Amino acid sequence: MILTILRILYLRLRNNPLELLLVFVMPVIFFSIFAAIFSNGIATGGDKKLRVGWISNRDTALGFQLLGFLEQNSSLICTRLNSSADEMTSDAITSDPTIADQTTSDQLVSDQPALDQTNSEVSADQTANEVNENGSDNVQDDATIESQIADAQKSGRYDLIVRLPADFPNHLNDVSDNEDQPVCQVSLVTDGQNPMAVSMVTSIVKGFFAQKRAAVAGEHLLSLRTTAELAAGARVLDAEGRPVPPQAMAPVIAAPGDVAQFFDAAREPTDIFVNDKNAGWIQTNPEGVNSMNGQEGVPSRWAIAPDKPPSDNPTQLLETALAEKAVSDTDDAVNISVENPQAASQENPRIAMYAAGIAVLFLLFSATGNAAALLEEAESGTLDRILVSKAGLFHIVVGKWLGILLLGCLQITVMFLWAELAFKIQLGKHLIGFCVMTFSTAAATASFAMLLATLCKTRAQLNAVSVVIILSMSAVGGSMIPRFAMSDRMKEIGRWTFNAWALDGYQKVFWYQSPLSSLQTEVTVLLGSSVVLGLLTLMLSGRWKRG
Amino acid sequence: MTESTAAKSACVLSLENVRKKYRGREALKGISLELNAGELLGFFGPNGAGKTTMIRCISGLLRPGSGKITRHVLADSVSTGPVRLGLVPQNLAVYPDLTVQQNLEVFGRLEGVSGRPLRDRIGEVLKWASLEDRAKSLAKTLSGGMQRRLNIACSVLHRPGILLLDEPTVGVDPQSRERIYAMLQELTAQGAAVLLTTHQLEEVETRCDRIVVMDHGTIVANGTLSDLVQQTIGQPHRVILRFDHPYTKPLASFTLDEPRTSATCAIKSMKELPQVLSVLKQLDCEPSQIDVRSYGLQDVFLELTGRSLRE
Repeated sequence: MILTILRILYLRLRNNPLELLLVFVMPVIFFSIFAAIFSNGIATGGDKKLRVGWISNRDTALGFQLLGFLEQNSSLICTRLNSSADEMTSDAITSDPTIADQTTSDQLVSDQPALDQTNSEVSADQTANEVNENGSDNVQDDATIESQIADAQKSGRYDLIVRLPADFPNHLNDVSDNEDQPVCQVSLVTDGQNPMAVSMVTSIVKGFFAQKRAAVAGEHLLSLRTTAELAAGARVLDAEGRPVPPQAMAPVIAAPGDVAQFFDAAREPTDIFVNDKNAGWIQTNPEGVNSMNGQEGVPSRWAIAPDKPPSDNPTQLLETALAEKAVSDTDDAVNISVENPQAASQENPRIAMYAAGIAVLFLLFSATGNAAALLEEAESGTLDRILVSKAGLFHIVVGKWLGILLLGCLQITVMFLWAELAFKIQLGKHLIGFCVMTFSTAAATASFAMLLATLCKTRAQLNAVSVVIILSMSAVGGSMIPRFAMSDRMKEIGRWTFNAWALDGYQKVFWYQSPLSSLQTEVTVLLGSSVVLGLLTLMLSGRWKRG
Repeated sequence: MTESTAAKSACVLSLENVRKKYRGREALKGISLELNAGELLGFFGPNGAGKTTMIRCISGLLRPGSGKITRHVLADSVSTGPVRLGLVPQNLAVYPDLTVQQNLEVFGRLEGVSGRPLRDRIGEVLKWASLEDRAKSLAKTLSGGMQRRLNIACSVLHRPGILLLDEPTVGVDPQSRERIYAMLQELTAQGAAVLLTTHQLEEVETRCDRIVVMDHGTIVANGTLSDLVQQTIGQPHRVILRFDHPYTKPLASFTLDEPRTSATCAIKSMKELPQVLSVLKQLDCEPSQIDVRSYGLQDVFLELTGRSLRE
C-alpha cells in the first residue's frame, strides 16, 4: 500500500511539468543567481572590488601619494573626482624628503625597504611630482567639493569617497611635533550602503601612513647617521668625487630633534631603562634619557625598549626600534573620520530601502495574484458573462489594471507608513518623490502582472511561472540582496527587473534626497515599461474571448 | 452579427449558414436556425458536436468565419435596439466571495442597470429565484441548487429577450431542477426566448418546446419530439411480440426477426392497439409476451448520431 501511495505521488509529479519546474528547476535557478551574486559580488575575494572616489580641496604631494597608494591596491578601483592639480605648473618640484632626497648615498637608501616601496608607488604617480613645495595654491571651497561628492554618490558608482581637506599637509614632515596640533585629516564619505568599504579603506589608509611613518623616520635616521659620521670626521663626496662641506649639506639633514615626534611619548625611558644595566648604549638618569653614545640632549621620546638584547651598535638598535614603532605611531599621524551625509540629514535612510525592497517584492506577488483573478473568471465563465454584458474587453483589461495599480499604491503606502511610524524614515519630507516612485512602480508592476496573466493559460500555470519570475527578479533586482553588494555585471542584469529601477528611484528619494528631476530615468523606464506591457496585454487580450 | 427589425415576426434570433473553425477544426458547418420569442429551445447533441461554439458565436464571444447571426428588434418593444442577450455559463459564473445581493448588484451594473431600477430589479429577481432569504449570504455558502439559481438570476437583471443557458441543471437535485425550469417557463411566459443545451434527455423531452439535435457541427434534426420521431423513425409506437419457439406462420403487418422468435409492428397511435390485438386473435397467434413501446429522444438521438462513442 505504501508503495502504491508513493507511486501516486510519483505519477502526479511526473505528469505535472509545472510542479517539476518548482521542485527541481526553481532551486537550481535560485542557487545560480545567489552563486553569481556571492561569487562576484559581496567581497569574497572574487572580482568585486571596492570603488573608491578620491577628492581633495587642495592638491598636495602627500595627497597624491595617498591617491597612488590607493590606485595600486588590487582590491580597490580608485578614481579621482576633481582635477584642480591639472592647473599646476610643470616646473613644480617636490620637496618631500621621503620621495626626493637625492643627496644621501644609494647605500644608505637601500637600508630602508619601506621607503623603497613608497618611493616606487609615488614615482608612478607623475602628478605628485608636479605639486610645488607647499602644495597647490588652488583651493576648492567646501561647497564645491560637497557638491561633487553628492553627485558622485548619486551616480551609485562609488562605495566610498576619500576626501582630503584643504589643510592636508604637503608631506608628512609638515606634521608638527606638537601633540596639540592636528594630524593629517582624512575623511571617508560613505552613503552607508556598504559598511565593509569603510573598514577596508580605513585599514588601507592607515597602512599608507604607517609606511610613510617608517620612511620619514628612516630618512631622519639617515640624517642622524650622516651628522654623526660628519662629526666623526667622515667626508661626503659629490658626483665628481669632491668633498662636500658640512654647511652645504645642512638643508637636507634635519636636526635630530625632529625625529622625536615619531616615537611613543607614553613610554618614558625611566620606565624602561632605569636600573637596566644592559641598556648601556643609552645613558639614563631618574629624569629620563639625556645622552646617547655620549652625546647630550637626546630627546626622551627616543627611548625605545629593544626587543632584542642590546647591541654594541646604537644605530642598528635605533633602526630596529624605528621600524617596529612606525605602524603603531600611525594613529598619531592620521585622523580618519567617517562622514555619512544622508545619515546626517535623516534618521534612518537604510530602512527606507528595506521597505522599498520588500514592498516591491510583495507588490509583484499581490499584483500577479490579482491579475490571476482574470484566469479564475475565465475558468468559471464569469469573464464570459462580463464580456457578453455592456463591458467590453478594453473595459475589463483597463479596469483590472487600474485596480491592481491602486491596490499596489496602497500596499506600498501602508508599508512606508509603518516604516515611518516605527523607524522614522521621514516619509513626509519625501512625500512627492515617494508618490512619483510609488505610482511608477505600481503601474509597471500592474502591467507586468496583467501580461503574465494574459500569457498563462491557467491559474496553476500562472502561480508556478510567477513564483519563478518574481523570485528571480527580486533576487537579481535587489529586493533580497542589496544592489551595492553585487558586481557590476549583476547590477547590469538587475536593470532588466522592475525591482532594480524601483529601488534605485526610492534610493534617490530617501537616501540621496535628490530632486524630483533626478528620478527622470527611473520613472521613464518604469512608466515606459508599463505602457509597453499594457499595450501588449491589450493586443493579446483577445484570447479571453476565444476561451 | 447583424441586427434587423423583426417587424411582427416572433423571431428574435436567426442564424444563417454559420460556419466557424475553432482550434484547427471546423466546429460549425453551416448552421441555420431561428429562435422565437417565448420559446424554450433545447439544444441536444453529443460531446464535441459544436453546441458551445455555437453559443459563443451567438453571444458574440466568437466571430463566425462566415454566415450571419441576427438579433432582431421586437416590434412591440420600447427599446429601439435589438433584443438583449443574457448568458448563463455552464460553471458557476458568480463571485463566491460576494453575497447574493452583491453579485446581483455588480452584474446588474455591468448590464447597465443602476440606481433604483436596479434595487427594484434585484428584489424581483431574488423572489423569482427563491433566494430572498439568502440575499446576505456569501455565494460560496449556498447549496448547489441555490448557486445554480443565482447563476441564472445574475443573467436576467437587464430583462434579456434571449437567454442562453449552457447546461443549467448540472449537478442539482430534482427539486432545484424543477424550480429552475419553473423560472425558465416564467421567462418564456413573459416573452423571452430561452435556448439551453443539456444532456438530460428527459428535460428536453418534457420541458422544451422545440428540440435541435446537433452532431459534427451540423443540425441533424429540428422540431418537436413527435416531429423528430416522425422524421427519423417514422411511427412513434411499436408493438413487439415474443415467442418461446420460432413462429412459422405469416403475421400480416408484423415483421418477423430471425430466428423468428420476435415480431415488430409500428403504429401511429395507441388507439390502434386493440385493432392489432384483434388481428393476432384472428390469426390464432399466441405470443409469450407482448410489449408496447413508444419512441423517445434517446431513439431519435441514437438513430441520428449512431451508437459509437464520441470523444
